[in-house]
Amino acid sequence: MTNEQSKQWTCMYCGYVYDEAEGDPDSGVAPGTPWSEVPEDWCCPQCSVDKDGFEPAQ
Amino acid sequence: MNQKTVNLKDDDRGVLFNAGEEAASTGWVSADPYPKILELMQGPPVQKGALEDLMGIPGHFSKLFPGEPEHYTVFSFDLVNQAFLDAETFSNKVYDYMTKNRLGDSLLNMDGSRHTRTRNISKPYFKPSFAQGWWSDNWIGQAVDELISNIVDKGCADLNLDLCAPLPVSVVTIGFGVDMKEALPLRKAVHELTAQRDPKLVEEANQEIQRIMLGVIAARRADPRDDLISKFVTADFSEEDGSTRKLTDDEVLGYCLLIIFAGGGTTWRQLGITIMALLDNPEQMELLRNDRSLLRSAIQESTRWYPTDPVFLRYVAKDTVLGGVEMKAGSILHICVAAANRDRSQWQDPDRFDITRPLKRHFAFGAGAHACLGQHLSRQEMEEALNAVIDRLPNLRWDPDYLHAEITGAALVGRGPDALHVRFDPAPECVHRD
Repeated sequence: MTNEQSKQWTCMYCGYVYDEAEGDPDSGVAPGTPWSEVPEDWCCPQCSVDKDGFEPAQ
Repeated sequence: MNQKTVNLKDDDRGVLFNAGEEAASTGWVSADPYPKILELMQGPPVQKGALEDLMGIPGHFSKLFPGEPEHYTVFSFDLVNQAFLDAETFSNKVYDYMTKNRLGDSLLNMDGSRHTRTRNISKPYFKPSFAQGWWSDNWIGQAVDELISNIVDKGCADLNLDLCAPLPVSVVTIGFGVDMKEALPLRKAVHELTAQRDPKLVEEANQEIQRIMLGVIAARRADPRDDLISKFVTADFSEEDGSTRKLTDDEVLGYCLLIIFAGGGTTWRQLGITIMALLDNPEQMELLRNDRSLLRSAIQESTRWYPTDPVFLRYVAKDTVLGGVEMKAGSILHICVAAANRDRSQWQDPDRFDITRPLKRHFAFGAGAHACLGQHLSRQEMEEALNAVIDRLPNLRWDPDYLHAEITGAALVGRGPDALHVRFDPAPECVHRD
């Protein structure tokens, strides 16, 4: 799966999965928000790493 | 100038900071676990039995639990991931029996909402940007500089005692806001508290910890400063109903003990493992010297290749099936991260240390809601230490007067090098220093 196709992104440091369908409402990211539109200052709700620490889910 | 680091060579450190002696003091055997783990990985991904029993070494973890529960061990990347991410089924209640009786109620033994609300207190202070900013600017940079400056003109050192061990204990002590002269007594007391089997000595350790910490906690309540204890005493803890309150002294103390316990040994040992692996693979040391963008990869690879703690435990909270194996509620699951980190389906030639591998997640710091709180601080300390080693200790090499370093420690917890005796060329500006 390429970066463009992935709908889920996994945190490399704690395994948290960002699912575009679910978003991250607790952090103000609405369900349905594509990864590319998740704000750059958003961070992993579990371990706080920033977007650079995520990889496309396998 | 105020001293920013503890001197471990001259002070009485007891069994501390010698991985083998620390292990012996807790009753563990020191066997290298990898040959047996690699053999077990060739079998089913979930096997009945505690890892220590499957390996044929004396039981340690399996003696901790009442009622003779059944034990299982999981080895594969995918199933280890599944177990870590399903905290409702594979619960941290296991720490009720492993740490709660000594460290008190802590993040380690909590689950669900209470764990989330408690972790939220400290989360801002352990995120990557805080490690790269506050921790680095205030404490790590100066500590690394001081430790390297102590050895730079000598031409030889034991990097285990001169750098790897004193760095994290110094950073955490001074970051808490505790006087550096208490660093070693505090670390010793926490070791006694968790490793000692004599109740009288455990109580003495408790009293020593309270002597050191309660005064600082009271002082920071009255006059907060820019340190971690001040941040804890001024933080708002959210109750289940949404109301907020300040942490009690016991809760602040518990947090501090957890950080010392969980972080006191891992960064020390992992930094040593990383330096050892680079010295054993000089072509990779050279790659890193010439391309520091590989630092993150080098640490990710070191933690994958040889994590300090090969296994984590979880309590099976409800009847379940993992990898086709049925487990009853009340069973204990041994999560073999050492095996999952070398899963043949995930990495090519996974037994080889290779800092040029693409960045990829693994389980050295656990995963899921209980992923190591301090992992970004730990990475920051290791990065800065490695940079300084490369920049300020030219022509770094093993010291031929000593036996080659060995990774020792308890078979399944707290592994690290016994020593790191090295030689290097004194920096030109230091050669003629008196």
